[in-house]
Amino acid sequence: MAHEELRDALREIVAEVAELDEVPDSKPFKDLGIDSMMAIEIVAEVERRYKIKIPEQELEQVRDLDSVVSLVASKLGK
Amino acid sequence: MRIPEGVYVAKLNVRVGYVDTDRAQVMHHSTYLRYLEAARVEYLRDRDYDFRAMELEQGLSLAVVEANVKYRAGARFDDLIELQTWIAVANRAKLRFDTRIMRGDEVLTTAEIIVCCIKIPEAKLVSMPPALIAFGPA
Repeated sequence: MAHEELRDALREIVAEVAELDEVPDSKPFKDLGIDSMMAIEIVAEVERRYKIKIPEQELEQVRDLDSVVSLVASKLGK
Repeated sequence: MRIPEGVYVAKLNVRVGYVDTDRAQVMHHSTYLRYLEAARVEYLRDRDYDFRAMELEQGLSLAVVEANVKYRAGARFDDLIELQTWIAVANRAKLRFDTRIMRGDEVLTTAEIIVCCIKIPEAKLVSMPPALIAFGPA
């Protein structure tokens, strides 16, 4: 999966979990109304979808869409 | 609220005390939340999950983040009520405990209580332990 495809797919996941129409690349999740519980739900869905594991200590890296893309790309070896 | 097929249902029987009621002689709405909490603890005990050890040994606890309670009919002093509780949603972020409060065959109250897992004492949100997630629907 190309990087942009991955970004679009992750954007869709975030939008779906957080019930948002738009998810800008760099806007902090907290400014989008995504709280820490929703962030864990996003991670859970990402783990399920891509069959990866994101350890507890890496949860704090989930701050915006860019950070999610980087995190998932690193797990997928991209 | 119907109990989904195949879920584990824990039952807690409670005799409504005089102290539980208000001037209208029905159980006060806040009392239901107290019994719903007892029902969740009972659910975990029923499934051999030591909630006290979770707090004391792992330093984790469960915090209520959402409570939806529908009061359909009032429980009265000395009624014997049964709280039937199951886990309807379980994932890394949360558990949703669903409870029906019955008086005989009559549904008095239905409730959906969502809890998250926190590290105590700083109350930092952390992932739900896998052992608890495993209690959720397949």
